[in-house]
Amino acid sequence: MRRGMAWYVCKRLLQGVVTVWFIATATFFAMHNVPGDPLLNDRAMTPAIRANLEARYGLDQPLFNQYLIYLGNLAQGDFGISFTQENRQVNDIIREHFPVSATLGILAVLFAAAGGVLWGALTALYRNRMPDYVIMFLVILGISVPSFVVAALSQLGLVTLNTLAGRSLLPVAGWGSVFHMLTPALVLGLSTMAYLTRLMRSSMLEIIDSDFVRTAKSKGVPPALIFSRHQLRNAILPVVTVLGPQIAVITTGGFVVELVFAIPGLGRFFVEAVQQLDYTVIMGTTVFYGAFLVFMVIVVDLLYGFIDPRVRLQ
Amino acid sequence: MYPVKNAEAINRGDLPRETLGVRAASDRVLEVEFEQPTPYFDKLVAFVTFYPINEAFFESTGGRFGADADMLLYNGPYLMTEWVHSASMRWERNPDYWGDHKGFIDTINVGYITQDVNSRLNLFKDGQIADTQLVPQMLGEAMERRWQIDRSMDGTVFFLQLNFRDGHVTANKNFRKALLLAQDPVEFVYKALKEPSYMPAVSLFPYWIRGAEDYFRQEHPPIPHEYNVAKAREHLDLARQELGLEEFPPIHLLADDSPLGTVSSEYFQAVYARNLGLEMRIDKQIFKQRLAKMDAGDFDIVVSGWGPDYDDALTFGDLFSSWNLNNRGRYTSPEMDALIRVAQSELDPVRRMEAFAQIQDLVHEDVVIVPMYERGWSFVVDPRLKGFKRRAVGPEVDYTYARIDGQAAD
Repeated sequence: MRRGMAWYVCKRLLQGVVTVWFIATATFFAMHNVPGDPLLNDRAMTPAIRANLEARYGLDQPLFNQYLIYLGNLAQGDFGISFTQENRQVNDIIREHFPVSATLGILAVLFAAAGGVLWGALTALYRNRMPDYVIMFLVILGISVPSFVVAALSQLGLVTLNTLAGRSLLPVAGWGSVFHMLTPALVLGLSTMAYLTRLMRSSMLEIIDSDFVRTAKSKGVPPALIFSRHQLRNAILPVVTVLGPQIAVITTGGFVVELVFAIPGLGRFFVEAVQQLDYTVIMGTTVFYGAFLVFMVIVVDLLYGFIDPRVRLQ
Repeated sequence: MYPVKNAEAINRGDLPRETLGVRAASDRVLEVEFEQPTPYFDKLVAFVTFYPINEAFFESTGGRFGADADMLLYNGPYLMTEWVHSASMRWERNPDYWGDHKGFIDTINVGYITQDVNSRLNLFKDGQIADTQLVPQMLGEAMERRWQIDRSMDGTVFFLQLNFRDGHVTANKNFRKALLLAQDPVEFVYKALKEPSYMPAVSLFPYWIRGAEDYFRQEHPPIPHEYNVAKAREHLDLARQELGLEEFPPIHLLADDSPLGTVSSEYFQAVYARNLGLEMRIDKQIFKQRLAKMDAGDFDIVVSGWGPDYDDALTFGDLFSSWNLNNRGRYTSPEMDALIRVAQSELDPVRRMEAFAQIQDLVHEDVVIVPMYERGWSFVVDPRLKGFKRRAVGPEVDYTYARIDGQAAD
């Protein structure tokens, strides 16, 4: 069993490396085919200056050579220098800004998971009764209202709150303390929470009618124990499945929230780099996020085995 | 750098570095020798490209110069003591800066960095920041709340640049005259853009450019814009005859994909369709691709602009010389080149400004551009913050003499 597990992990990691290589390759060639020239600026430059810049960024090489050089550097963990942020290493950008996105993302996922499981279970238990209707209405709202609207509205709410209180109860924007994180994390996790609530509701409904729950009931197991041991544990499996990718999605998708709340996360760089055709930052963030996503999926698959012993990892 | 003696030849690799016409005559005297008389050199040295840099320090950063707060060296009124990228900065008064700074602000916290203007306004309302930009939609609320509104021009002039390359209808002078006459920058700025901080443009030279003694445009007023559709149509007919065309082909109008680029291109598309019956095909591109197409000459008309590098009329005046790489419409005129040569090296300020006046008229007469607007911004400022300046050239905001006036607190 132990050996089988190690072998499984090795296999998955190897597959992961191939996936990341594929992501890097596809992004590299797609990016170089995007119209526009990363070196251009509104001040025109002489051919001599242009040649210097091309040499600095290795753009003077044929495209396939550039690709090989990039892969070589990537293998050594070197993402290169940004095109737009003066002399800044892409490695530094990721090192400084990813922890911010990750902290925000983890907090958002915690909100989402806790809320999703709780509300989902609740709606299932109160199926077709008032709590179910109210929560499901909010869920639809949470899924359909885009995050930039929620972010802007909640920020306006904070301003109003602080004005009414006459002092700063919660910071309107910025980064630093736990208080700075609360609102943006809630906003960021909201749509995931809504999504998880629906997921949890339907899987809970299936479980409620299943044989083993009926058996437990007939044995006289207290309802609280049935809920936690038999229902929740079984119903949570689909939630865990989507949680892994959702962590990655949330951590990478915080662009709007980071902008509105002036948070120095990596998501901002990710989007701005594309607008600015900052080749090295586009590659660096995409490959890094790609690897992160692949890693999270592997972690979730491993977690499966622990939550549900029936799942065999091979 | 090319006004400095031998700079161009050294850059080409034809001469050794030591032959550059710059010498430290003593500890506090720098001697500069020119290729030709350069009356605006004192303005030029305030431009970033000319800033001095300590070679030993530069080498010591190991290629990371400018990447972080401790990788910078400068001599301004404030020191950047903290820089969290995309989050915050802290500036403290530089004790070695010249002059007396008692009573002025010692520390400036740039507490939040975000491009979101709505967020910044929320921070202002929450009392966290002292100064932020107002976009047109915010002005109503700002006036209702009786905020102190500041306005300043950022120095940039926006215009339609026309393509003079062979094979483009815009190479025809009567066609260009029709384009100029058939539109109205006043309507564009106040009705289409609805941006009270902008000023309708009439000239290549913005209003704030200095002349010999007064503002340049006070000394040499530009030819006023004439919005005259009937006359525009006459020129269009002449162009049709000269080009031997039955109908004009669709005109290729290149613009950025920014909100402003979109409004601008759509406005001119509508105006030229209505007034001249021309079909404009809008080609919206991301900034870098717009530039690439401009460089390649792949446009008839392009929505573009020019901001000043240094505080002299020449920063706009030499834009349409035959050798300027930023002259992306490839306008060439021996008369223009001759005038620019005078403007570059004439030592008598009055005669020099006369050359600029002729450049201004020639740009209008040849319709090298269709001026759109001079860009400006509105700001809301905490009434206690005094004494700082916004400039069109150089650093945008100058806090050297900024102070906090407790009396005016609201």
